[in-house]
Amino acid sequence: MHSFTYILAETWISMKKSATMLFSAAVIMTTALSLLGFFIVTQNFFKVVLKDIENNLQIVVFLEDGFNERTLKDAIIPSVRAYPEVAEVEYVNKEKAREELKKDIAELDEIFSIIEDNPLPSSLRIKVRTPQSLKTVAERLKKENGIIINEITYGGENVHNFLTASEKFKQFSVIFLALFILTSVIVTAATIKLTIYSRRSDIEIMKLVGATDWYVKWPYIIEGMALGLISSAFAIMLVLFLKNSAVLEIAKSIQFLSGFKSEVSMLEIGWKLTVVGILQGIIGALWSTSSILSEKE
Amino acid sequence: MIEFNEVSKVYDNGIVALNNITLRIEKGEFVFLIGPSGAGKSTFLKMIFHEEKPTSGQVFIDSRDITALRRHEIPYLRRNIGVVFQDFKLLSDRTVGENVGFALQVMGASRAVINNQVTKVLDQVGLSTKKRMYPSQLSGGEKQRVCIARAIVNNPAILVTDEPTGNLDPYISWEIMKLMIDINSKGTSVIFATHNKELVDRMRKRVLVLKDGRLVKDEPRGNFDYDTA
Ligand SMILES: Nc1ncnc2c1ncn2[C@@H]1O[C@H](COP(=O)(O)OP(=O)(O)O)[C@@H](O)[C@H]1O
Ligand SMILES: [Mg+2]
Repeated sequence: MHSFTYILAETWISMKKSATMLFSAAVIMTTALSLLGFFIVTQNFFKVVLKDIENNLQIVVFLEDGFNERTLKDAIIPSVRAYPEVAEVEYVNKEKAREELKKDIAELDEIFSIIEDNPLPSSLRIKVRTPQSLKTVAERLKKENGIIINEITYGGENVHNFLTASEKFKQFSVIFLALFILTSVIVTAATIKLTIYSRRSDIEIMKLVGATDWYVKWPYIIEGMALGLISSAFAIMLVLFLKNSAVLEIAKSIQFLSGFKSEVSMLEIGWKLTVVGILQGIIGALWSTSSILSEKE
Repeated sequence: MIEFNEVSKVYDNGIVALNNITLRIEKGEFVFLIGPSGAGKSTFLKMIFHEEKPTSGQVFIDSRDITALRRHEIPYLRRNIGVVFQDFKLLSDRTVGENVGFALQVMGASRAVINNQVTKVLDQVGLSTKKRMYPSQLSGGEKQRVCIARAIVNNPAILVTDEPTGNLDPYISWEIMKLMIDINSKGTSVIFATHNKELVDRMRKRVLVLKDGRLVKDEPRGNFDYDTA
């Protein structure tokens, strides 16, 4: 069909007429999409940190010497393994503890060869499934009979705080983002509506000479799509720029977070922003065209 | 062939614009539609190109009940009906050629077909030399001829004109009239709503007289006379 080229020409005519409005709509949509980009980056960053934490959700129980190893292996360890929150239990006896330490710190080799006695305690390393269960499991362990616990360690409080903070941040961002995206859809719709309004006599003529509704609508939908595409291109550039500079510097300066890097690729952010941008444009366009073109049966 | 069967139109504000109209217009006929302002002439024409729907009754075109058309079918009806108005309705940012070709463009015709047809009808209305001009550069009569060219560019079976000479001086009006006769002679039915007494009296064609939405007179070789009805 030749219609496609005609429709593109109509789109261009229409866009020229509403350049100023289109520009402001593009600014707002770019802002919304950039925020979405930052949201994806930060969420990914949190995910990386959390994964790291989850891999280390470990309670270490240091045992007093002189316990019965049989009881430990046959009764206590299986019972701890049976806790629903527990993923894995590892018994580290004095000997193994020394080997591990020697491997970690080579200089200790000499010291150990001097010291006859092994001063390191035996321990149980218990991996739990969720950070929330660290505390419960620790409390329950204290009540286990048959072992005397010297010390229990786990990174509880920090993990908990981080979790709450990231959850709060996520909820806040989602609401904020939803508002921004809604706003940019509304602005897109309003912009296109104004274009349509300014061309209402053209549209009347189109319909009089027998243009179908879709022939009339397509230019505005393409306009919305173009708006989304341009805005997402700008947003991607903005996110790229900031991701590689300021934001990461800040993250690095917080000691707890140093060493973590966002793994999210620009490609992923890129296509997500583009899809969301184009969708915003299309939804805005459909919204505005439906209310204007169907005024009469 | 156009047929009105007990057509009434009541607008949302309660005004009865058409009141129980029944009539028949044959293929290739030339019909004047006259009557005082507000009599319902424009509403009558809008029934034909489906700009408005009757409140009751049916309108048939070639035996097809167009009041039963679905929304997406209306554009195809309109491609077979040319319309011309008093206020031209031209696209100001397009040339004469583009305005005329517009009716073919929305149908998806190829550029070659559009070019051919546009040249042909511009020739027919005597505007061959003005193809690249813009509407603002034309006189009223020329603008109206562009509208007529646009209306006939896809060889419609029906041409509906709503006071096309309302803004034009007598000489130009007569030129427009001659164009309509020419178009009619090639087989297109013409329905011509007008206030122009001279034209109607000179032509002695069929005259329909509307008054307060009623068809009060339908004469085969009528005059411009709606007071004695
Ligand atoms: N869209 C409309 N809504 C309400 N009333 C209308 C509308 N169009 C026309 N009318 C009324 O219907 C009557 C007939 O109008 P119209 O068909 O335009 O008459 P004419 O063309 O003979 O002057 C008038 O009283 C006019 O005010
Ligand atoms: Mg009128």
